[in-house]
Amino acid sequence: MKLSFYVNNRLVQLETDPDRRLLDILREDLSLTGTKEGCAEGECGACTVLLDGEAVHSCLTLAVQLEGRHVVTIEGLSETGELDILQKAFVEEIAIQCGFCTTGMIMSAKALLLKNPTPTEEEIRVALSGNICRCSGYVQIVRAVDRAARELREVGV
Amino acid sequence: MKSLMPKTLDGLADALTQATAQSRVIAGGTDLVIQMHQGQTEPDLLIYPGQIPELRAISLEEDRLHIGAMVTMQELTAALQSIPEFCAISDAASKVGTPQIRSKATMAGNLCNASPAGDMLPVGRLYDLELEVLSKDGAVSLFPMEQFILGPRKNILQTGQAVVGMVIDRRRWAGYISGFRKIGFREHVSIAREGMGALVKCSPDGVIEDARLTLGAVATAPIRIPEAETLMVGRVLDEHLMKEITAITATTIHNNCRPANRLYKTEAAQGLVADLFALLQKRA
Amino acid sequence: MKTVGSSRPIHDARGKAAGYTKYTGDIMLPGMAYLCLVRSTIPHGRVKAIHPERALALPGVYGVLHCFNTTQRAFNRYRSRFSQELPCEERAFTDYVRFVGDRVAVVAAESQALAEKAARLVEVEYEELPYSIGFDDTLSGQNCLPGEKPIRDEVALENGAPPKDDGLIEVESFTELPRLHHAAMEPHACVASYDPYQGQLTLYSPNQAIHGIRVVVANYLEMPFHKVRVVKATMGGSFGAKQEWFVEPVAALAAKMLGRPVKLVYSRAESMTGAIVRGPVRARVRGLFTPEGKIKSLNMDLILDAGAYVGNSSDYIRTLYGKLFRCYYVPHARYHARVISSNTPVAGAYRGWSAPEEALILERHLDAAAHKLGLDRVELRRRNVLLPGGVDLKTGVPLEEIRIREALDRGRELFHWDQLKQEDAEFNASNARYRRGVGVGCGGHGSTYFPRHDDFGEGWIAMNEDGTIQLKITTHDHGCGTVTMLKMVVAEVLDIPDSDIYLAEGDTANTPIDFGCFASRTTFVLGRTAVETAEALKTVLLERAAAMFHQPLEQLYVESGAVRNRENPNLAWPYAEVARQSMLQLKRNVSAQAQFNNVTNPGVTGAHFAHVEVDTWTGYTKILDYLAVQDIGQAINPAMCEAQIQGAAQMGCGAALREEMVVQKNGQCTSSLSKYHLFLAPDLPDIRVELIMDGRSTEGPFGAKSIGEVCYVPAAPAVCGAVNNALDSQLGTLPFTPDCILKYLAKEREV
Repeated sequence: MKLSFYVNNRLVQLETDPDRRLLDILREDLSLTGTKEGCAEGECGACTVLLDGEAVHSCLTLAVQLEGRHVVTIEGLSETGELDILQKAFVEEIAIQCGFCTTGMIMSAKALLLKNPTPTEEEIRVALSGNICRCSGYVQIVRAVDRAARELREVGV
Repeated sequence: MKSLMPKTLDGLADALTQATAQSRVIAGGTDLVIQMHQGQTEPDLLIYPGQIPELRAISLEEDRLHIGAMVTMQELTAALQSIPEFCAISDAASKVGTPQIRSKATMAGNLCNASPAGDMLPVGRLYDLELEVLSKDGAVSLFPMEQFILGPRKNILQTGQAVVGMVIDRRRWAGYISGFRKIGFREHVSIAREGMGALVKCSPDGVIEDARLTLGAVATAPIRIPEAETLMVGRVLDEHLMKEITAITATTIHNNCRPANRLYKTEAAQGLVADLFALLQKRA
Repeated sequence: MKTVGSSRPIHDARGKAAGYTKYTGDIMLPGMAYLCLVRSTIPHGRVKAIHPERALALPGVYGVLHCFNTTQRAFNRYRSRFSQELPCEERAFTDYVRFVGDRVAVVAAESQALAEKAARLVEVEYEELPYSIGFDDTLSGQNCLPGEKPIRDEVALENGAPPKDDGLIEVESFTELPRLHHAAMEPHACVASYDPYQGQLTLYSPNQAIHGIRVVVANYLEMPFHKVRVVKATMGGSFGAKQEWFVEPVAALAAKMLGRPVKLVYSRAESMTGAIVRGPVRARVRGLFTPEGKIKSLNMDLILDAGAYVGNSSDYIRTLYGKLFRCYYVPHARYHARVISSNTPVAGAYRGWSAPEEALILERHLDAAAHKLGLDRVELRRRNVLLPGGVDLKTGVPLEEIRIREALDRGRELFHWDQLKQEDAEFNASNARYRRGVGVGCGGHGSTYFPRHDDFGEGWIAMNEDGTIQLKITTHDHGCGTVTMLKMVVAEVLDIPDSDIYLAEGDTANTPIDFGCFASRTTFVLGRTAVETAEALKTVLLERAAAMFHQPLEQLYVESGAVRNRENPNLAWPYAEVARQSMLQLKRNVSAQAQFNNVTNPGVTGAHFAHVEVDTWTGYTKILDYLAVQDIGQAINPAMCEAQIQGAAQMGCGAALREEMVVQKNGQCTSSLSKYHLFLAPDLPDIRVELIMDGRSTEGPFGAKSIGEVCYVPAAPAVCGAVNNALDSQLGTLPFTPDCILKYLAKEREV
């Protein structure tokens, strides 16, 4: 099929199979390898991207579902080479260890903050409930999201 | 593999004319893509109806609630969580899988998939929900839930048919409060091991005038608990009633579930009913 | 100290946050083939025939390698050094399959999706054999491996003399531990490329021992060591799962045979059942205690299910025994352990390498003893823990400044143990549905291989012309920050910012030999190696400066990135100046090498505390509060240590309450995260961590001891103890799932 959709605000047009996963399109066709595959069944959340502003599993999204839609990947958050507030908060709060869950975790947090700029701790934890981190106890991750929410409010984004 | 992405209902009917027994309509894809990736199913044609505006709409009309087949769990939750008679739907939708699943998965997909553990099955049954089925000739027919689901992972759809929406009679449930609870392997993000939905109509002084209860993930299809429903009429939502309902629910679960899970599911009825009652008391 | 003891993110945190950092699965090489394994669908049998024709007929399929067209040479996945004596019983592809998931063939294709599709088209004909799915089958005589004994190994060990005292109280306990999955978020992966013209093989993988892989692969493919280059790639978590070699030999063989680069990435199901698991254990302990609760004797009988291949299991049961002496004073211990085989996934390394199992068994036993003797559980432990200056009674190695008693005392206070016990009693008395309880777990581990193996590290270091540093030490960062740790240590010695140091991870072509990331030795052995290496460079700097700038050597010292003269504060030569002048004047590079031979292994311990609430109507257990107190010596990078400890707590909560891989009657094992329930963000409280830093090691860098494994040891025991306390039960079969709890309560009701 001919597919036209937007990745990180850029129009992408390609010829692909309708059953090709968004994850594979991103990683193999567009070399956007920041999105990870951890389970291929929607359990770990490592492949999370934004689809029209909502967190979704790119491993459970097919090309046929993408026409005209907007995808944002982790690479889309720091296109200028500068980490955004959320990414910086993950670095500075020591919320990153092996890093394999990090990009998906950040995208889930991004989806939360787009909808809810003032999340409670409980809301943060629930928003991240689809992202498994095996290295940590989620403490620094929750702190990083909370910090980013505060900083975003301060800069008025 | 072929694909079609119709933009109108007529276009969808046209697309369905090309469908074979191997063809699949994909909604959220949260179940289908896993099956495809594991090689369990290899469709010859994928039809994606996500661009049809009617299918994306949820409309709360005077006499009915209409839910388009492409409405996501998250959209359902947001739309219905403050409407007392439909809280059971938002309760269930808000606990399906993870946030990522809920932003794609649909109620229609959950019903079509017909997994005995599907959270929307007991909810659909609770409201006598009807499914709108579009055939390739363009005709739309209505099927009640009980007829639609034939058994585990089996539904009534034939080649060239697709669900386009779900309808609930709003007048029938006006004045009711509702709720849904489930128990999984863990508190968050779990497939249901048992789920229970309730619709209750109370008089201004709290006396129950009518009640309906359904159980999911216990038998191969959702079941009602008529004995408990009858017992509730004329009573109030208190501890005593909860104990009696627990006993009946436990027996119903015991008699309907598979032996392997019987002990747990029967014992856990106590928590399930208590949590559901707490929800109803809060909303009464 | 300027650097050591301050906190900073892992070295590649920014790249990871940006999605820029490349993991093995992200590597693309020109002409690369994607591999997908064909695995046995039966638990035990012979492969009669393989029909790859339908797979080969697909355009884009490069080949199918299988047991009938590849070498049947064997290797041992657990080998990590040349000197180990181990059976070689595993083939890349086997015609004799021993479990569901054993490798039969591999398909190479131009894309991952195509390789997977083609792999499904490879037909395998089997002749099925009887099989065992675990202890009961094997022990009842179900011979799971014809021609091999079902009991693969047996060991009897004893230390000390049996007690003669009268009036001792006997305590018995039984513990059964399930099979566990490591659940590193990155599945196993390897990219292999072979240059036939130079006969050079290069492997990229997230692994814990590049030189161990080199030994295994070179021997397996009959290649000289220098022709096998192994590069440690960024690792998306291991927890022991990437400590044994089954991905690398297969990828290497395929690359060599196909003559093109290959990428082999496991699916989650493969990482669960086709890699390694923590093997199931059953143990019975009979202990003798004084009425005051002092341990006089422990008699442990244990059995471990190795699964289909023996792998590391023989060493594992022996190591487990040694852990008895790392936390408590055990004057007499008698141990009998057996390893059985079954037709199930292969048991192997798991975070803590038998110490967590030992702790679960022993802590359960101590809770049973406290119950029988009517003693507080913390108090009973206090009376038995090893004290500073003690020795490991099995090895005779000094435990130095072990701080387990302090950890217990500090924890008891910070956790409000005594107060919570009282509050819980009141809560439970007035609550029909919920029961609360507290638990404590202690555990010890090591910081080095000593004395089991000679243990050493080597470092190479050079100063660039601008004063920055090139450091080479073979490190395998799992994501815990060991690269950062080594940089910090060197920065401390040279008094420069750690950002001025370049350190790449292990690469057999570029970094010195190392035994890999085992035994929690990285911080201790390699950290100290880094100290020695930096000190050697410092000596060179001072000597060169003395010679070039005509200064008395004894007056020179380094501070803030410059060589200075103690007698004359106005004299200072920035490192860049020394490095440049050394090249110009002396025609010599400023560089050094050092080795550190380790001969110590101080006690390193932790005490964890958990407060839980059990819902007796659903069986759910909620963690209300959690405190980990770790006797760590000097924490080099405290925030990373805390993060790792909290991760251990999360893992321990999982092991105690949820995690278990079950092998069904047909030999199929749990192979999905939808059925292997991990702890998620909403399931956990803010896990608290307290570091005790005054029990410093004599030989570790700046007094540091290990942390990565030891912090997992006490975690599950604390949570299990809390559940048993809440229910007033003596449950010993893990995990304490909702099913397990409601089953117990139903049975109690009947009694």
